[in-house]
Amino acid sequence: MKERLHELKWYIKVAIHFGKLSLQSVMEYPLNFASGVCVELAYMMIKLVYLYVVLSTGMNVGSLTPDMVVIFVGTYIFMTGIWMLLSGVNNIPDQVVKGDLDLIMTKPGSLQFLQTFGKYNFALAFPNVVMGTVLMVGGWSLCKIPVTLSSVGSFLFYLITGIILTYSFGLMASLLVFWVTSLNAVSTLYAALWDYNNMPMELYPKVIKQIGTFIIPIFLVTNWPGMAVLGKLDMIQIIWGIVIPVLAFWLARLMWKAGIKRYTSANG
Amino acid sequence: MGKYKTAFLVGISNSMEFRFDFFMNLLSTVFPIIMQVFIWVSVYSGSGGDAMYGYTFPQMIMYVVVAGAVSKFTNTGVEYMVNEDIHSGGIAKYLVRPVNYIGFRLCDIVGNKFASMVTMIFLTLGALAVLFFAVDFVVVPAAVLLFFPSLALAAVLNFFIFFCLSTLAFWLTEIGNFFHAISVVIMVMSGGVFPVSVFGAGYETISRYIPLTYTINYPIQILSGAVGTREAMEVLFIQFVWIVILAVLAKLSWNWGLKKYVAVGG
Repeated sequence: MKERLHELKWYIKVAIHFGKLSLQSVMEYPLNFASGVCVELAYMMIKLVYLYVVLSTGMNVGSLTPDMVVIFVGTYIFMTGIWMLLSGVNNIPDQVVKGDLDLIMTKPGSLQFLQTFGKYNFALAFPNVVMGTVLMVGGWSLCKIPVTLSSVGSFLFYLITGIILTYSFGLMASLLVFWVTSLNAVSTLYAALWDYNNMPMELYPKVIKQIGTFIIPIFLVTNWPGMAVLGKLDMIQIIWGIVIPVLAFWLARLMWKAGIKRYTSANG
Repeated sequence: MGKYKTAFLVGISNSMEFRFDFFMNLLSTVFPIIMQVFIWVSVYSGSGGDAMYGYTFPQMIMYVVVAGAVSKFTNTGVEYMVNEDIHSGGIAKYLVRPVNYIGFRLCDIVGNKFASMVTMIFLTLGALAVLFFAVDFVVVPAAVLLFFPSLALAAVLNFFIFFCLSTLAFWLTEIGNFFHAISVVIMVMSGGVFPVSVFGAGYETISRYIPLTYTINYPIQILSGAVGTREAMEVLFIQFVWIVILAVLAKLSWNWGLKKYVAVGG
């Protein structure tokens, strides 16, 4: 147990170092950082246009008032920031095709950890995380939700499970590179599915809600924190929101191991 | 003329080389459309069926269904090609050949878009049929006849807008991200996500005097019947005028940029 704890501490320390290195490298070329921020601001404009329509028309999304929708859109933008931050996960297809995993394989520590937490894209993450946080806090305040230990705790809990799902789903999508040659089409489809979270799942008819919850559980990533704090989760959803992140993480791990077995390199 | 025809034919064969990507791209266009349809269903169900932002419910649904496909179709990606040619030194080979680079790229892209155009015709007709049964959207035959020429002009207009922007690559080195950001902004401002009337009367008025809305918003307005035949003809004329203006601007900025261009290679 003590050894495990020591190992965990080491990984956290290494992850922080990787974070510092990524930050230093991005600050070496501030113009690149600024241009990355501009790209994300442009994409954020589309996300906010949807919210603008909801707020300007005053429409209710199912049982959610426009103020409540702000929390959901905020969570979606925040989670997009997390997805963008994990550039180690998103770069896997490129690394595999170029044979760049060779070098990482020779380093001590878990290969999955070194690859997926070895690099962060702060430029793409920064605007999303900031705007997402502002909207989540703003929406919370507009809805006049009391700040209690249970409300903050449940929101943060499902926010963390959302982060685990973001990591796991992103990793699984990237790992398909071990089985198919070109991931362009898969990446485009995954991004399109991800964008379904731009609006709360209450917008969609029952059949899409069921597919997005039970078959391709993409709705769990950004809907559960808001639903938890608004008291809209039933017992099955509460349990499902705990089981699926664990299952997705485990599946991603299995897929990683299976993929690495298929990896061959022909570098000189 | 033969060399431009060849560029057009090469464009067609390039676009059909990766058929899986081609059809997956089409599929990825459908997903955001579904989300937008549900947003408008929700908005209009709360409004009691009145027209909003100048569109009736069937017209708005038609707009969002067609907008995704139109913005995909009119997006040529010429800025990335020109950027690559300038920074890799690839334009040197065009400079020594008896070929006009802008004309060559235009024919190549029109060829690339040819398969999409054929697919678009069938998709649009299919979508109109579905909309007729789903939301009672009735399309006027004259509107369909005017829509396709306006779509073709929109693609050419978009080509020249982005060609003008792409010549910035002569002066700036790291410009890939800028193209990415500007193309998203232009897509939204052109009405690729929602009709421009959603952004308020102020922007709607400004949008009449800039070329952006003539690439997406107005062609769809023609199809939706939101503008009459006479106005539609005016839109076609304005598109043509903008194409001429931007073609001249593209040629000038290209010649200006070439004076700065230096190729070093074996």
